[in-house]
Amino acid sequence: MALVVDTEHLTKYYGSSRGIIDVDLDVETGEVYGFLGPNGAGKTTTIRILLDLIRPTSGAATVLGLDARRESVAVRRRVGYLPGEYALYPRLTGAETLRYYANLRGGVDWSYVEALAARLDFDLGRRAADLSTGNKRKLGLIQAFMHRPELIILDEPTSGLDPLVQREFYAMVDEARSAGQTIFLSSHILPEAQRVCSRVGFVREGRLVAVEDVASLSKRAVHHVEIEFAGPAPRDEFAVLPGVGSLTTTDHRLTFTVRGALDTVVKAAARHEVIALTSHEPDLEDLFLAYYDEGAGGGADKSPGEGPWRRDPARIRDDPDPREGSADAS
Amino acid sequence: MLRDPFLKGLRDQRRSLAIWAASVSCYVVMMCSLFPSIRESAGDLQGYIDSMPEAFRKAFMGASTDFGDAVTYLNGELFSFMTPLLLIAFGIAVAAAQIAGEEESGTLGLLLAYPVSRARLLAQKYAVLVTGTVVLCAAHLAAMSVADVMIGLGLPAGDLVGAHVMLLLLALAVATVAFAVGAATGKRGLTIAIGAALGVVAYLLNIVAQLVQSLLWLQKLSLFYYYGGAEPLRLGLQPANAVVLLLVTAVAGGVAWFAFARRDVHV
Repeated sequence: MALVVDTEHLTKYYGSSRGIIDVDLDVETGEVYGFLGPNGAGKTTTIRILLDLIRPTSGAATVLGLDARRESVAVRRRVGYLPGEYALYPRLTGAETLRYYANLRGGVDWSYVEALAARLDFDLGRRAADLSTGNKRKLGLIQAFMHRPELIILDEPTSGLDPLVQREFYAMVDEARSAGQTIFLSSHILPEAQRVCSRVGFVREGRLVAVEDVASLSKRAVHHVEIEFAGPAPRDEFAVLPGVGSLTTTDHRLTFTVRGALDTVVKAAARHEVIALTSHEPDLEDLFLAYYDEGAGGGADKSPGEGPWRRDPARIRDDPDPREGSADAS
Repeated sequence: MLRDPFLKGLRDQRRSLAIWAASVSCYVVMMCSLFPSIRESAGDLQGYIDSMPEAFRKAFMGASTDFGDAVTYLNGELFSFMTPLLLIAFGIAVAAAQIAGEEESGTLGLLLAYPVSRARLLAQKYAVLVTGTVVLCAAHLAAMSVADVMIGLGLPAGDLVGAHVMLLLLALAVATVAFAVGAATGKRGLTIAIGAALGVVAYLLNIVAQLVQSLLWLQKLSLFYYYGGAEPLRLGLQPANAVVLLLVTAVAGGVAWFAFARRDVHV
């Protein structure tokens, strides 16, 4: 399949400080690619190179088959971009701002701009100076989508959006994908990427450390399982099962993790009287931790609370998925 | 007015440009209308002027010291200091608002994600600066022409226009250097500081060089010298000097283009 974004050994240093190192990206036509990593990992740096806002120290990037540096204007004609941080012209209204941007592009269907504004419940008549953070993000999303570009690059698209608007945004992403558009989004909110992405790349300290299909990731997932038995918990039976770890027993209750399929665990449980069985689907955070710990050779000293993917309360609040909250409460 | 960065730039500064033009025009008309009463007391004033050291007199007033003459009067009151100061200040302010201003306020990154080449953006932003400066200079010329007719100053039309051309070229030379600093660094404060420093140094250099005979050669390093020093209205258009000012502008413009096309853009 044709590559929409293709980088080779992309490296950027700011003076002596690290931006990104040897990043090899391959984003295919029509996919939603999640570019994941903690803040400061190099996500924005990579995106800004693709748009020729900054220049790589070494390596090369092509976007839509065009050289990101030499043919940048042609690239930018076919790309929509939402920056992670940006300002608006304070004295222009939303409509005036979008008119200006539409004029810079040419050929924008204004009725589609109005439709997007209506969909995101964005008031086009307000001056940018009076817009809240969430409304500024909405305007950013509208200008990124308004010309129906082949590639949409979104840097932290949902930060500052309330859950309802986030849901609308996810729908917009799904529709864009159905329409054959390619989406490249960066995020540090893993459940978000899990929800919208088909493939994810993990960037850590400037390097792309893993690229995985979200579907296949889930297959070799680590499930959190909790079983409540009528009788005493049969700890020993489960401890010997392949893939089972972190086993704890409290009275009649057994909690553990399972790497891979749940089949053997379910069959073992079936030999006993089971009151309740819950299994939390793993999120990308756990998947990546598992991946990264393997890569680092064991990594027993890295508990989820201390790793690069620390789960802070703010991030959980960002996630509209109620499952996340209950998983934490248990 | 939101069709491209040039028109948007004009739209952004329409209010401030109108205020600048109105203020400068009022000031010019006011200074011109003071001339008849100055001419009446020129005799008393002349004794005072003649008592000054010659080098000093020449540095600030040029070759003619006859304050009863409108050209000498306007050179001293407007063209030797106040008018170029105002034009340069305006030029630097507008220059700083272009690339550096947009970059520091955080709008440049998104703007350059649109299909606009850096060269095109730079050219349009520069055109905003040139247009604003031309308009302000034209307002100055128009006010002076009106005052000339109203008060009967009898200014030579050719020199009046010529002096304004030199004024425009001086303001553009300084403002373009400032613009280049902004384009190369993206820093608004630095743009203003270097532009202002260049204007002040150019002015002082021209004065000091004339006060100290052994330093006269330093004059050639000053943009004010090429502009016409203390007597632009008497010298009018000076083609060779105009070329020097244009060269400075062109070199600064080239630096702006070269640096802006190559550097990283901040947020």
